Amino acid sequence: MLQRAGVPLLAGFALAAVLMPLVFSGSSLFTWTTAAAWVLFATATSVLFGWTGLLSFGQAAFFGMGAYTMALLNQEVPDLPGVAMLVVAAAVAAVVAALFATFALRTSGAEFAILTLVLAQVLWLLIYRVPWLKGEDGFSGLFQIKILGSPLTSDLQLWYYTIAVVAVCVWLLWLLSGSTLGMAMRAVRDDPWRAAALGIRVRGVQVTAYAVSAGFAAVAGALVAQGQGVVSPAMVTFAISGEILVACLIGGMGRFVGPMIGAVVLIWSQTMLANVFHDSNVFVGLLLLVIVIALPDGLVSIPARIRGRRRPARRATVPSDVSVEEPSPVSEVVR
Amino acid sequence: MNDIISVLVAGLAQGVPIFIVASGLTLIYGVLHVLNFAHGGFFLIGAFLVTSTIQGGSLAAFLGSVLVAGAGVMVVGVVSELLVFRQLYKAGSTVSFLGAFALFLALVGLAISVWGTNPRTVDYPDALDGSFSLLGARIGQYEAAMIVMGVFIAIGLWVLLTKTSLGTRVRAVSHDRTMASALGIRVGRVSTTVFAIGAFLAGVAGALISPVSSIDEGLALSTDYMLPAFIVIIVGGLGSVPGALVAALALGIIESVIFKVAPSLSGFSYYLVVALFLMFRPQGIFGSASRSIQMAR
Repeated sequence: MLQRAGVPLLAGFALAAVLMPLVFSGSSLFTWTTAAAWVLFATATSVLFGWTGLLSFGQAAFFGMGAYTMALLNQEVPDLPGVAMLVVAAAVAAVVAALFATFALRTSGAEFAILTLVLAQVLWLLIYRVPWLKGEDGFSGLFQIKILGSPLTSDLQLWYYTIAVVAVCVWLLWLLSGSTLGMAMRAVRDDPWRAAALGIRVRGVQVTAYAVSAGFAAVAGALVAQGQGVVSPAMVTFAISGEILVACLIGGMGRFVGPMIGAVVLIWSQTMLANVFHDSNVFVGLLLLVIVIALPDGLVSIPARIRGRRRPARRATVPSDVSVEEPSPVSEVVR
Repeated sequence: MNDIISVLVAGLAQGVPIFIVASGLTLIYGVLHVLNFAHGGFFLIGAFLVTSTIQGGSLAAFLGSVLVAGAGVMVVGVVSELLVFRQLYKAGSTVSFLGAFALFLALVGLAISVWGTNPRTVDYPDALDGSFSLLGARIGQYEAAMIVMGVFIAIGLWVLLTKTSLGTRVRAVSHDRTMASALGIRVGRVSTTVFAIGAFLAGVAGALISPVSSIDEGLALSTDYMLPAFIVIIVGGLGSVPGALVAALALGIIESVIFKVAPSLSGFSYYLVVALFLMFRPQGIFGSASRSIQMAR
């Protein structure tokens, strides 16, 4: 019961919120703040890949849309509370995503994958083409956004604010995951035909999943934008779309916490390896390749793998142990 | 009249490199059922290779470095097929899409660490640096040469796919992989060959646009070439080379007309076209409706 209501999850976030500032400070705490936002981004992305079995190579579109909505709101209505801005950012991204998905889901599989990539690149192009999106210059001064009436002034305040928003959003996603809609998403992933036969409106579920994922990705983008204080086209590049896939896959999408662990691992390894790899594309690309080839089920599958390897003899006699070989969480998309 | 001719020629010249890239993509999709995002990396490396290998401004030197770029990228393509896609074939399409995207990021990153982030340029070959008049319209020599090149490659691909034993095997594998392998066709070898051809074409396309475009990281998913190529294979129907040809040239001409009539909309015409196609014919010009598309309706 507690598990279903997500109490352990909220407790985990509360513990992290209290413990991190005791251990880390300054730029390390800021890295944790970024990682927290990416935890939300990764969980939102896993709604598509892990739960619904939809591919998206353009998650940067929604991440960036959140950041740019935040920047524009800060410029036009600076008195709006930060939380309200987050809600607007999420709504904008969700509406755009729902419209896009309604069209794009007329195709499936490979074509849909291409279209998601195209969407992100079109947005990136728009930033340069539309004058009020300010092209390469981007926006600055997002430190001014007011939370509870005043701007956040220290890394510590930013950490508490970010982790609180992320905790609430991830908790909402946890509730969604256990709900009827969450079950329907998994049914659509595993077998759209059977799901349709059971009376699930497959297209409706897919469009909803896309909108939900985009909305929460936008919140993550807005949080990162507020933390950095600046918004630039670098937040909408294909590198970001790749990084979030790495985060999801490192952790593995078979478990709810997989993408969250992956996001933390990704952000910290990027920070620590920043001196080794000057271009993060190489790092992200090679890492993704290694994961896809060697460890397709992610880090959370390692315990099961080790157990499976250690007990080969028992497996022959105990049939129930066959379940050690879990099926890949990334399911085949019907074409 | 003059305007019509120059707009048509510009459109065709724009469509040719898109066709060359898209034909490789669609061939690879037909045989391996992999959407090769890494093609953007191949295209970028092809263009970079020209900047490094070209010697002097003669036409022969330029064509030489185009071939070198094609061959170099072909090697990259074969290596990536053997190292990556061969491992992923059994894992299903989602995983191989991810593998292709990973390869794309890695190749772009490697190209940037070799050639740097500063945009590079290549001069037009001396012999093609002018323009001539056709029925009163000024036509750039390089545009004309590009169209000639496109004709050669289209005919070459047509002969290769319909008149040779390799082409028969490629079509057999793309039609029914299991049956082809039961008939004794070495599917793995055909896949590698197709990948080599596709990569070669991507390298050549990258090399051919090197005098027209500035060469930097942005080329890997450029809105002038790579994204249109992805759109072309959707509009033409996945796996169909004639579809890619028709769609690439048609989109090139549409883009060129829009550039003339409404310059502010240029660069977006591809997306409008693909939106229209998705509404009325999601399987593309030459594609057949798959089960999932039928269900989606």
